[in-house]
This record gives sequence, structure tokens and C-alpha cells, in this order.
Amino acid sequence: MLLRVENLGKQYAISKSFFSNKETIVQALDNINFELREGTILGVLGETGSGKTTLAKLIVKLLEPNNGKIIYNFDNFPRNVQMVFQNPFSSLNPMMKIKDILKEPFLIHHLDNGTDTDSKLRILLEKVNLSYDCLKHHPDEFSGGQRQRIAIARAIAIEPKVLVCDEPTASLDLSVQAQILNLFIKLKEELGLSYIFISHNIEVISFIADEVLILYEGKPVERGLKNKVFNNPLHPYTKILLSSDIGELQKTSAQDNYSGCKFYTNCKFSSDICKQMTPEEIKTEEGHYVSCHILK
Amino acid sequence: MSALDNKTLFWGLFFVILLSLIAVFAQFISPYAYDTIDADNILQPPSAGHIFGTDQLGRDVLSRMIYGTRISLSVGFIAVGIATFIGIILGSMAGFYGGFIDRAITIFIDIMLCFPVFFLILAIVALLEPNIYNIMIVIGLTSWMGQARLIRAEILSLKERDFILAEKVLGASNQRIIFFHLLPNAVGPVIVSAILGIAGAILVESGLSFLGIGIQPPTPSWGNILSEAKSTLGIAWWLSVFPGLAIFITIISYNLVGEGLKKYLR
Amino acid sequence: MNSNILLKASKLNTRIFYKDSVVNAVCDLDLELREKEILAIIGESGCGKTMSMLSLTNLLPQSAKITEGQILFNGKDIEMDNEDQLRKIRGAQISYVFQDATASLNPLFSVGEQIREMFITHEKIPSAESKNKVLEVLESVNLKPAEKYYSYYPHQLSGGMNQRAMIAMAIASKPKLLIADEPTSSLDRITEMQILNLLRDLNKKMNLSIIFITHNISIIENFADRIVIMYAGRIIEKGDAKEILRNPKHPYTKALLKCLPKKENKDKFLNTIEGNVADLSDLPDGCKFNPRCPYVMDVCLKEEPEFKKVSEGHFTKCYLE
Repeated sequence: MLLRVENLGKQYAISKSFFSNKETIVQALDNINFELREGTILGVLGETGSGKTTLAKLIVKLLEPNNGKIIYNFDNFPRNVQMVFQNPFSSLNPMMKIKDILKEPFLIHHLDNGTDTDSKLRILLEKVNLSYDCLKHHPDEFSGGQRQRIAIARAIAIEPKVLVCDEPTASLDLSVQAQILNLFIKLKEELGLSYIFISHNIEVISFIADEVLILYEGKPVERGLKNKVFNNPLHPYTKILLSSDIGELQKTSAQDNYSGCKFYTNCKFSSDICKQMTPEEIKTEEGHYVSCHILK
Repeated sequence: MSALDNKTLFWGLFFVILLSLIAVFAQFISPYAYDTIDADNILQPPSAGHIFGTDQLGRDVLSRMIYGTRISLSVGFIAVGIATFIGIILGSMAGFYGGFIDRAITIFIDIMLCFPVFFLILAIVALLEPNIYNIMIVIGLTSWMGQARLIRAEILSLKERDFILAEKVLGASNQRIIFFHLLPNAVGPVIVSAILGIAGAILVESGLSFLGIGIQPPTPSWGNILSEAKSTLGIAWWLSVFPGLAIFITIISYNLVGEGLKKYLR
Repeated sequence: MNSNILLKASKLNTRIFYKDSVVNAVCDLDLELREKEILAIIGESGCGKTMSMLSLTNLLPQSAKITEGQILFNGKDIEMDNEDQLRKIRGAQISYVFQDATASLNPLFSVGEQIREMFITHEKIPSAESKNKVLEVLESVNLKPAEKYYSYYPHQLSGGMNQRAMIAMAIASKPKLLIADEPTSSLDRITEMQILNLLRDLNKKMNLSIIFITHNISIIENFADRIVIMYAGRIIEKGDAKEILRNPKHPYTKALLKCLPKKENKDKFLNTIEGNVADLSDLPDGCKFNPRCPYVMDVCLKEEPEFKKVSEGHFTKCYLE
């Protein structure tokens, strides 16, 4: 076990109007639990507003949680958890050459010593299938896929244990997406990496993940081993995601205040208790957890 | 596509470079010393011997203006240098750290902007000795607010970009993020605003010298040549027209360069 | 199926003029759209799919120009220089929906007011009647209750709701053809499916023809009647949707279908297309796909292939048998 998340929660305060100091609390993430095991890929599946980017930022400590904790089973924090961002057009400093971008991790961690670093860069570029002479160019001379490779190279430069990937293929063309997904799998095997892989795309998650965590409006819906969750979905939301027959779903929004299940307004099986109480996470079988009242 | 395709920039740069060369080589190209008094030739109109004529003391106006270029440009450069330095430090601190530091610096900027700057300068210079160094420093200390605001705004928008977040995830220090990643990306608009600022500083210096509290005679500056021309405006037009034109051309050309560069530095 | 041709473009060429170069964004495009048909145009970034659709009513950016070609709409020639005629066609007979609905709506007016504006200016409907018309349109895109949505501002609605509002605006004047340019690309899967269902409904109820531009070949299976696949500004394969998805002929189409992650896929690695998406300013001779094609032959490097008939209504540009 590399990393464990316990009852993790994050709230944002947003001021309601320009003229008043009244603030609304938005629960971006609530009551998240999971474990990341060594050498596995945890897929986090959720729509816009499900809190998946907040989760990524909490794990790499760009944000501090309000509730719960993240237990890292290793020391040397920033070196061992790195991140790959969604948009490779904004994740690379436009003023720097690729060489300087890739040297950053070594410089920051005082691992730079001239010729040695050069050969390290060469190996790094080989790992992500880029040629050595890309080093002297600037990011704007590369396509989206190549840039994402550069961003991945930067993230694995200092040999982290965990890579947090926030929609790393969402802005890429499909043919390039396949290349990048294969690269992630190759790197996992070569380097023994573990991933927290965030996506809104159920096909991508079902391809790449070993375990899944499905979020809806900041709350966990269903999680567990991929095969168990996808072959035997138990939560009504997961069932809808996996079927091709989509009804009329209406998203709840921050303004709708009720304390119960966030999926209540869209759920065919909902009853009064769903509106009043947030469902607890129930273990239905080994490696399969569901948060839904109907399973009781 | 070269920067010289741009006509605005080309003519701006042409005059800026020409003026800089004049300033650097002043002692070689001026036909007379700027302070040689020639009592036989006072208030001579332009002629072959004195292309821009002579003043009340018979000094050659062209030579005085050539030396004046040196004074005006160095005041412009150094004053803007000081202003930009202060602006970068305060602006990037406000933008990067946010919270209390940001509020404090923003309020300080707002207070500074409330003063009518020219009168503030007048008051300070009146208290201090009006020499060229004090002028530079005072202009610099009273004109950094625009730069600071600009930098703050740039940093505010840049710091949420993914490449800055990526640096944070890598564990980079705040100093490293500010100096290696934020400022280089904010530098374009700062340069433009600094170049436009030079024109402004030259104007302020000319104004102060015209009022008699800037550069003190016999050291020539365009402003004090103009000031001396006041009393003889009716009979010696060349004393006011040439320095006036020099100021005009300088301001215009720095503005042209600033405007021209905007396109490339964005 | 009704085989009346609604739109026919032949030999359409659009070029983009940069300061020191010219790029062929759309090259010899031949396109047919029948009435009540849903046509999907599929391609990756820079393949010319958006440019070709903007060319249809000359909505191109200033740097781009149609250099050749003919467009017949509803049996009439669309003259590219005739702004008056174009203005009557745009919005009234051919309307567009773009990817980013939230940016396409005016944040200062409520959704209902914006649609009402359409009725008052385009259809010359008296303002008293127009409100009822707007409510009708909002209902038809499933923004119910329409009264409530009428007064909402764009920022109060989700991306999917805004896209519905955009569609409502686009169909308000009962156009014959709706061109939807990646309308679902920034939406979640569930919302995306809902929008597709909505478009399909409108297609049936209003006899609306739809051209649907997308980079995502996986969503059109139960949606489009016919498919056009574009690469590097050219159509490389076109035909009946089911036929192409079942029996793709061009190596690019085949690879595109294979590189999608699928739930049933048990392989460790995905199939990929090597290399990068074609760069329009630096295209090879011959077939434009040749640098990435696993079956490349000598002839592919020399001459660009012409359309070849595979079966009834299925054409591809490839030398392979």
C-alpha cells in the first residue's frame, strides 16, 4: 500500500454576491476513502464538477484538505508524487527550451551535475519516445501529443513512486490518445509506477485502470476492483454510465441544498431517506464498495 | 518576418538609436564646448558657423543641445530603471503572495496614485538640492506605480497556469518560481511600458528644468535651454524652436518603439 | 430513404493565406447531403472539417478564402460573393451550433430574450407573439418548464443546458440544415448522449438535416446515417455509416476505429497510428497519409489516389485492394 486516503473532504467558500460578504460553502469533495497499491492504476471517474481535479490537487498538496487525511507510505514528499496535467499547451513554460524544462526537476532537487544530467535527459527522452534533438526547441514547436510526452518526461524525471494524471488525454486527438495511453502502461511496467488516473471517459478508465473510484458531485458513488465494479455495477449512477440508454438526467447544483444523496433527483429508486441522509459506504463483497441506500 | 518590416518600429528605433549615439559621442560631434561664452556673437540667428544660432551669452545652441541629449536620455533611462525595479519587486510580491501583502501593496499604490505626481516632485526637489542625481531618483520614486500594477496583474494571471502548478508539484521554491518562471513570462509588457515611461520621464525632466528647479545652468538640458529662451521669445525664435523639436522627436520616437514592440512582446 | 439532394458541394477548395505562406485547408471537397439525413464528418485536429463547413456559407475568417468550387443548396447555386443572398441563407436555412455554447451566448441577456431577438429580427414576428414562440422552441429542446428557463441567464445553466439553448436558437427559424461543429466535445458523456438524442429527435420531428462534425468516431454509431472521414483537408472515405463502421477500407479509418479504448478490449496495449496528425503546411507528395500508413506502396508516394467505389455508396481514396 503506497497511499491511503481517509474521509477526505475539501470545501470552498465562494462569495455569493459582489456587494455582500455572505459566503456559501461548496463541498467540492466529501468523505473519500481509497487505497493505492504499489504498481497499480486507480482510475477516478467523474463528470465536470465531480471534484476529481480537487482530488488530484489534494494528493499533490497543491491544496490542503479540510477534513480527513492522506497517508503517504513513503518519505521525501514532493519527489515521490508527481503530476501530469490535462492541457499540455499550458503545462510547459513557453519561454523555456525543452532542455531547461526537463532539467528543472534535477535543479530543484539538487541532482544536477553537468554531463551526468545530459545522459539522464537522453534516457528520459528515450523512455517517452522523443528524439534527442527536441531539447533545443521551445514548446510551441511541438504538437499536443509531443508536448504531453515532454510533460510526462518531466514528471518521471526524478523517479517518483506515484503519478497523478488529471485527464492527460482529454485534449488530444484519438490517434494520439492511444499512443499516450500505451506510453503510460509501458512506463508503469518499466518503472514500477503507480497511477491515480483521472478521467471523465469511461472507456479510457476501463482500459487503463486496475481499480476504479466513481465520483458524483464530490461524493463517492462506487469503488473497487475494476472487473467487479464494471461487471456488476450496483449504484444506479454506475448503471446509467455503463448502459447506452441515457435518460433525462438533471444535474443538481450548489444552490440546491439538501443533505442527502446527490444523485437523488435523478434516481429511479429514490425514497425519502435518500433525500434526508447521505448514504454510507457499504462493502458488498471483497474489493467492492457502494454508497447507496437501496442496498441495505 | 523581421521586426524591421514594421514601419512604426523602424522609424522609432532609427531615431532612438540616433539620439543615443548623439548622447554617447557628444564631445566628439559638438562643434563647440557647451559653455564657451562668446560675447561678440550673442543671439545670432542660424548661420553656417552656428547652425542652430547662439544664445544670450553667445554659446552655440547646437552644442548645448547635443550635450542636453546626454542629460535628458540619462535622466529618462535611470529614472525608468529605478521605477521598473521597484515596480517589479512590489508588483510580483503582491501578485504572487496575495492576501495581506497584496492588500497592503495595492493600498500603497493607490495612495501614491492619489498625489498629483508633478507637484509631489516639485515639492521634493524644492527641499533637496536640484542636481541631476536627485532629479533621476525623485522621478523614479514617483513613477513606479503603473509598472507595479502591470506586473501584479500579469503575475496574478500567470500563477494559476499549469506550468506554474507543475513547478510547485516538483517542489520548487517561491523565489525560483517568481524569478525563473513568472517574471520572464511577464517581461514583454513591462518592457513596453518602460519604454513608454522613458518618454514620460524625459518630459518631466524638461518640465522641471523649464521651471528652473531641474538641471541647473550652466549644465545644459533641453528644458533649461527652453527656459532661457522665454525672455527672448520675440527676437530669437531658434532658441525655443530647436529644443522644443528635440523634445517632440524624442518623445514621439520612444512612443513609436513602445507601440511597435507591443506586437512582438505579447 | 428520401434521395432528394439538399446540399451538394463540388471541387471545393479553401485556402488560408498567412503572411509568408499559403495553406490548403480544404482540398477538392466533394460532398452530398440528402434531405432529412444526418451526416457525420470525422477527423482529427487540422483535418479541415471545420473550415469546409464554414466555407459552405462563406463564414470564413479573414485570412481564408474559397479559391474554387461550387455549392448547390436546395437546387440553387450559393454565390460566394453575394453577401445578401448568404445572409438570407445563414440562420434562416443553414444554421450553426459551435462547441463552446457558454461563450456563444451573450451573458447580459436571458436565454429566452436571446431567442426572442432572433424571432423579432429575422422572422419579423410581433413581439407579443414572439414569447410564445420562444417557449415552444425551448420545449422542443427539452428545456422544461420553458417558463423557468426563459428567464435564466447563461451563467446559471450548465454546459449541456447552454448547448440546448444554442440549439434552440439555431432551430428557431426552422432551418433545413443544422451544422453542428463538435457540439458535445466539452460535455460529459451523459450530457453528450442526451444532446445526441435531442438532435436525432429534431431530425425526425422537424425534417432537419444535420451535419455533425466530430473528432470522436465512437459516438456516431447509432446516430449518423452517413459518414465522411477527412484527413489533411481531404475526404479519404465516405459512405453509409453502418457500412463504414463495419467494413472500413482506408487504413486511416481502420486505425482510427482500432485505437479507441473499448470496454471489451482485453489487450494490454491499444492499437495506435504512428506519428503525428498531418501538418497542413508540410504535406508529403502523393497520398497525404503515407508517412503514417503501414501499407505504404511506391505509388502512394507519387500520386494522390482518386475516389474508388467499394460498394454502393461507399467510396475511398486508397490504392489498396
